[in-house]
Order: sequence, then structure tokens, then C-alpha cells
Amino acid sequence: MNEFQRLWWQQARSDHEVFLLLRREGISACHLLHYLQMATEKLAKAYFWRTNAPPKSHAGFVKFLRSLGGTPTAHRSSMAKRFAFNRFEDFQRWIFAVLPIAYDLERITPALASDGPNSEYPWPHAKPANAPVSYEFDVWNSLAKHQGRELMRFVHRAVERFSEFA
Amino acid sequence: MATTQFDRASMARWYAEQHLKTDPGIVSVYYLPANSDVREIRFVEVNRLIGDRTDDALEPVDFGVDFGEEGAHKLFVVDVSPAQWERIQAGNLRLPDSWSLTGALELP
Repeated sequence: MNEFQRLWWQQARSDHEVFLLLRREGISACHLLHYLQMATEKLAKAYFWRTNAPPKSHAGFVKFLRSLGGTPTAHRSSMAKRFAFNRFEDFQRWIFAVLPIAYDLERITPALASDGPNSEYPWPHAKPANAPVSYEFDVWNSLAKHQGRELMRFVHRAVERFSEFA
Repeated sequence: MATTQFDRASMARWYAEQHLKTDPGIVSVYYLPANSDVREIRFVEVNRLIGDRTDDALEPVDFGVDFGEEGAHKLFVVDVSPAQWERIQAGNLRLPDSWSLTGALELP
């Protein structure tokens, strides 16, 4: 892990800790989603700083998962075990299954929300009709189900064990 | 020699297969070898799960693969929506600098 990665990882861990804290307190979904999205984006940035050229946009978490799904053959077994899968093929299939949730999580940032549901600001911009704090987010409902809960466990593990695969 | 350890076309095919296996949003993968370094693989991946953007700044992402090893190489991916791909083909949306559709190949 280089120094740039370490700094992004440090911030990702802190964002994730805030997410866990807010979840324990039963805070509104918009705030939970905001911190989960930030933690995952920064986790991805930490990972891609290995190249010294991380993505500039908010969209990074999906690419991070895809990159893990394309792990070189020599490292596949250890990568799968790191995330509690017996076989890499199972890990790859799991990524395929959860990626739609990851896309939805990326799209709750105002920059990618196309003036629709986002975790921070009332929308639409020209004539606000919804506030995030009182909105029921489909992505939060997805995260509450089986695949979504697994994705949150994955994020936790990826944040905690980042140094092993950075 | 390290240069004999890396078969770019085979590697590109392998990455395309892996990406299609991993991401349900990817509709097609195009390999763009023109103008790239011999140890660089460039993909345009058409993806139905990304939204259309109005700013249209296409950003190649370095996937950070296999660097510092004998077969060292780089994999750059530009994700585009189906509508953006149509605009690229029609010449209405620019690829990143030095990227070209000349010799582009759909994989696998």
C-alpha cells in the first residue's frame, strides 16, 4: 500500500465507522446511504490509487468490484478466501448478483442522480417535491434484503482487510 | 525476456470474458488496440446500467492489474451507455485523446 492509498483508506474507514454508528442509532436512511456511499467510493479510490490515477468521478465502487472479479489467476484463491468464498467462481457469481445494488448506491450521489432521488438535497432542483429524509429509497430496501446485507458485510470486510489486497 | 511473457490479444480476450462474467450491466466489450502502448489494453465497455450523462467526459480508468511483474501491463476501460456508444460510432462523441475505433474488435 502506498501513502496515497493509506490516506484514502483512513478516510474510508472513518466514513464507514460513521455509517455503522448511524445505523446503530436508527438514523434516517438518507444519512446511512450518504455515509455508505462515501465509504465505498473512498475504498475504491484507495484501491485505484495503486495506479496513481484513480477515477475522478463518484463512480468507483462498481469498478472496484469488477476489478476484484477480474483478479489474475495466480491470486484468485486467496482473494476468494479473503471474502469467505471457497471458490473464486462463487465470488465472481456473487459480484455479478450484487453489482446492480452497487450501481444504485453510486447513483444516489447528487452528481449522478439526474435530478432525481439522492441522499443529500431535495429534488427536482427547479421545483422540489421530495426531501431525502422522508423518502423511501429502493436501494436501502435492497440493502436490507439478503444480497444487500451480504454486500454490506463485504464492504465491512474490505475496509478492515484492505491492506491485504491493496 | 519479459516481452515474450505477455500476449496482449489473448489477455484482452480473457479480460473481456471476465468482465462479462462479473458485470450484468455490460452489453458488449470493444478492444481498441490502435495507438496504444504494446503493454496497454484499451476497452470501451457498453453498459446498460450506467446513466446517460450530459457532460460526456469519457474517463479511461486504469484497472491496476499486474503491474511490477514480468507480464506487467495496464488495462484501461471507458464505460459508456448504449446511447453514448451510438454517438461515438456516429462521430458525435469523442473518445479520449489518442483512442481510436480503427481496428476495434468486439470481444470475446
